[in-house]
Amino acid sequence: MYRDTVSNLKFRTSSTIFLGLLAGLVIGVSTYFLGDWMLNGTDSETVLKSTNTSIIEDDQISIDEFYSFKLLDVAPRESFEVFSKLNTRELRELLEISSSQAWTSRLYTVQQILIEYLVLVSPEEALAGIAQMSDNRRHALLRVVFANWSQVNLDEALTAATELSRADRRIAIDTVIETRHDPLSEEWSSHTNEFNFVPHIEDWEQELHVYEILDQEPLRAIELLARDKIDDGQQIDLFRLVAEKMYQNDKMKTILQLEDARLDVGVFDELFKQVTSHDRAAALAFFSTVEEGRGDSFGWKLIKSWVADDEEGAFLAIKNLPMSSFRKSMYRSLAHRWAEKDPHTVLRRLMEIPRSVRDNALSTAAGELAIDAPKDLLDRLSTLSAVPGANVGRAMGTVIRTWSSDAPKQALAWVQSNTKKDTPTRKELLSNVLPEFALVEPEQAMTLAVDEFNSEDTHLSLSLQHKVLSSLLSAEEFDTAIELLAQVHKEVKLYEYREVGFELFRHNRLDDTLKLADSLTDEEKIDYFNSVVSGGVIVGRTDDVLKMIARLPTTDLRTGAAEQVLSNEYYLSEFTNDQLETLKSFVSK
Amino acid sequence: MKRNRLVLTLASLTTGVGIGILVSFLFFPMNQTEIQGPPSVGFQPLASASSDDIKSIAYEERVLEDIIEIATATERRRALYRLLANKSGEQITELLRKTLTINNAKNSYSVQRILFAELARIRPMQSLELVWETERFRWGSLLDVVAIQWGSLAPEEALRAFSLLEEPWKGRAVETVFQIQTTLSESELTELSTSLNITETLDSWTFERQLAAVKDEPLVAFKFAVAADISDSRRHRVLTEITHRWMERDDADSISSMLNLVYEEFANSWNIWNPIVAEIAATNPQFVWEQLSSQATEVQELFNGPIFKAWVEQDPTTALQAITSTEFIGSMKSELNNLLWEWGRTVPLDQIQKNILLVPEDHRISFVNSTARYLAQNLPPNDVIEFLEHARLHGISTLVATDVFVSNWSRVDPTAAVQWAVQNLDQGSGDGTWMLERALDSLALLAPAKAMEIALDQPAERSLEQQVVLSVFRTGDIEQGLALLPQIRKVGDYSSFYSSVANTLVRYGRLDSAITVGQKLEASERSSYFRSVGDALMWYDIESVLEYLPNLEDTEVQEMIAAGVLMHHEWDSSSLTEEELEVVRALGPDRAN
Repeated sequence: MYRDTVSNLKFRTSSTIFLGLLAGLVIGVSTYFLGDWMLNGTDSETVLKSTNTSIIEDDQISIDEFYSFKLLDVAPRESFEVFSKLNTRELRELLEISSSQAWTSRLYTVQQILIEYLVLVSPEEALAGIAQMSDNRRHALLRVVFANWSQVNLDEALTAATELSRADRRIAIDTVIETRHDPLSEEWSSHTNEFNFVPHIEDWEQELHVYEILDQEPLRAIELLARDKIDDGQQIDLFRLVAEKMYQNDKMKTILQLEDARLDVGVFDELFKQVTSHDRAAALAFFSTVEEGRGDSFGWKLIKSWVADDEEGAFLAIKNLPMSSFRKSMYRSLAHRWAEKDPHTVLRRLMEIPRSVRDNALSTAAGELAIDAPKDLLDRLSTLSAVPGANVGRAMGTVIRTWSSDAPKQALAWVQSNTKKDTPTRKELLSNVLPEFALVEPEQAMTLAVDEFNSEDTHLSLSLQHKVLSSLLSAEEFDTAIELLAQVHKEVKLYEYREVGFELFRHNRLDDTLKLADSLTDEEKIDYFNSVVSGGVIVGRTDDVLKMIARLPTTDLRTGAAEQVLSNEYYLSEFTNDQLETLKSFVSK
Repeated sequence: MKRNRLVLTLASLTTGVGIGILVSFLFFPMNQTEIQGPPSVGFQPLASASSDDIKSIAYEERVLEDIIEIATATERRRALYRLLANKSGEQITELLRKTLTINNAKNSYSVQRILFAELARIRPMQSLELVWETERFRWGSLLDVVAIQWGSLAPEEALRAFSLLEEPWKGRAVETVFQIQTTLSESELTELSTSLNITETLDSWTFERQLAAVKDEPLVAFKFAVAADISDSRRHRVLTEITHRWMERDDADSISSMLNLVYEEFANSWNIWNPIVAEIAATNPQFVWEQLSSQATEVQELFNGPIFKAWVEQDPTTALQAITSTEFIGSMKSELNNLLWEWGRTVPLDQIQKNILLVPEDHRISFVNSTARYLAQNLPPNDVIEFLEHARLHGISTLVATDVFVSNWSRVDPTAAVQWAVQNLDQGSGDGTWMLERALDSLALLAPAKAMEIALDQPAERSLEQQVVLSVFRTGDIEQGLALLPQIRKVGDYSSFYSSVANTLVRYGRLDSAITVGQKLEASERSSYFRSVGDALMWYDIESVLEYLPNLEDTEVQEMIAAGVLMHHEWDSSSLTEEELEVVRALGPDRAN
């Protein structure tokens, strides 16, 4: 009985709980769906059904107001409500207005949604809506336009892409390829040739190929990139990626591998910087172990960028290298770059710079400072003459050269009044100022050069007279040079005649070349013409050489000039068989 | 009892309502029914969901698969946002991973982009890590998505994370943050960039921004690019891009004035005018060539290279005919070698051989020399040998071209190059000495003993073994070089060789070896040798000369080295102080005085 009562009670209790729960469930679910219908019922309308219904008419809110107050605050999810009610014009206007808003992730998302709506009804309007945006924003949204457009209508999208500017076109096509990932499909084939998409597809294939082999064969990947027909600049990120992988495998040896791959110089420079920036000190130490010449050129490149960022770090790293020509070479590079960057500091810390490269540092620093106050600088340099290795004369020469290009007369006056005649310093400084002075006062310059001539000077090419004439020839002042030849010392006369004669020949003044020889003795003439002939062959003017030999005044001169060529294997290789026959005909039997 | 039942009923009812709403909320998200799927696919998560699916991730993954199938971008996005509502970072991560396994590239990528954006908002670091799990060719664009979101919400944190990436991702992501962020001031950006070692990217971004403001004023833009502190290759790209914009805006009639402007402004800088002129010529080089012909001679001489290059790439035959015409040769003969060089490095070998006689006779040797150099670097050796033979058959001297070819070949395959050179000595200049020397130089780096053996097989007067030893020294393998020294044949004047040995040993810090080598030389050679040692010491180790020299035990050697030091000082009078000079003089040849 008790058991029955308990059973009944349990049953009734269970029934009550079950019925209560069931009823509750029904009420709960019904309430949920009722609430959902009440809250979101209007959303179930077909998207873009109301494109003719303006939000302005419905809600009495202007688009501007919407943008000012809502768009920036609205969650992207809610924007669907708004956009689905806008017509094409309004969507585009919103897109255009959005370009004036601060670019946030939310705005960018909302812009993407706007574009997705626009592309559905009029992709051209989407394109037009972003046309006036700044490059960064336009490029980001251009990707959205073409990612969606190509899904809706590949033909139209590709056709539209071809009408864009080159930069935009590249982004558009790349986006389509990246989105669809099927540029070799039949859908593409008609466009590939019509719009010359082959290069884009080749880029894409190459990129995939590089990714395939990157982990196992980075060296082959770099070779592929270096040898393909694709512009290296467009592939710079791929190059960077491969270089990074190479560095992970081979550390600084990567630099040698990159050089061996014979990359475009600019690309190599960028990768060099990328790889060495992992550890510049390690790079420098590695370069010191590379064969001479090659290691030096890497080192110079490294020191150049290192000094630009941190000269003290570079200085310390070089100090830590073992004594070698490489170390000295790096010191020289550092001294030069540092003096270029901060000449005042270099002058102040000159004694800290190793003696063997101190003159490089001083000379470069002087060159940097020479423009502003050359006279003061020269006075300051004079006080450094006791510093070992400084080579103050060379630094002064640099200053005088710079000064004389602006004010040759003042520079010359300073040299004349501050140096003693017949001293090496005076000669060095005059050789720097006279070339510029000769262009202003040629006769005066030559008179001074002749006056300063010392017959003990054995280097003809270093004579002041030669400096004057060279300067005039470089400036193509040929007639003045010819006139001044009459003044030169007899010790340098023939040498200068040969120099002037060859320049006349080189500038197609053959008559003058021949006439100049009238002032020479017969013996000098042979030397003179042989010299012009040699120069003519070296610069590849074999036709003109033959013409000149043909016009030489005597048989001996013609024979001498022709035999000189015929006896030189190198010269002969420059002549054709017909020319050689002509040459042989000049030789007197 | 009744009261208890009422309480029980109300409690059950309330619990039932609660469970009902919870179940509805969990499994029937609001508005799910409105999603418009493509007619062919349909989207019926309710109908397709079995009770086992409910509550499971597997179910959501199926929903995700359905979403990916939605054809309309807006609807796909809308559905996805609904799915993502209230999802945690882990859940979004799982969904993202799922998309990586779904084979529907057409839409899964667009879904991935949205998922990455959402994940980047709440778990940016996780989204960054996930980028590397996607297909490699998508890393760049998905990284952009992450950088836009993260950079917009927490730029400093984003920059810290991106600054630790490898290139090229580091630069790309950092620059995107610079573009999108609005909260950090310029000074804060500068400070942060310095501390994160990303100033180079900041400079680059600043440059791009400033360039954008002037890019439609070509001259201003060119000058801005020229003055900018950017890499040469970047400058090249920028100049090309500015020119391209210029070309897109102006019509063809402006070509002449463009060329003139470029000449007036940049004639002295090849690095500047070359990319500009090349881009002007890129589209229609023949037309630009014709326009150039009406310019002043100096403009033609300067610019014809890149224009001709573009023309050759489009139409090599017409381009060659143009420069070999009587009219062109009459006025621009001096330009011919350079232009022919351009032609030779652009057209295929068979075209070169076919047209070689079109090259004016007095330019053929120069053409063959320059083309051999290019071919040697870019074609297999047999092709180059064939080219040289072809040239010889047409009566063109190939002595220099053969030297150039062997020299280039030996850098790639020194063994083969040496072997060929030895068998074809008559084809190189100087009876093949020059080319064999270059080839042995390369072989010595690889196989010094073999190189020495071949050098010693040649007549002694060629002294090729000297080149081998110097080449070995240049690699820094001093021991190997020293081991080869006894094989040097004593023919003629070999003092200059030993002078180089002295120089090398000193600059590698092997002074003791330098002394030992010198002491083994014949008396007549020793003075010159040790003077070289002294000179080299002044060059490479001037600071230690005065410590080293007085302590040398061999006074004869000391005297000769001192003579070298003094000889150097004569040349560079500032190298030693008066006091130092006195010390050296006291050890030198005049010490008795």
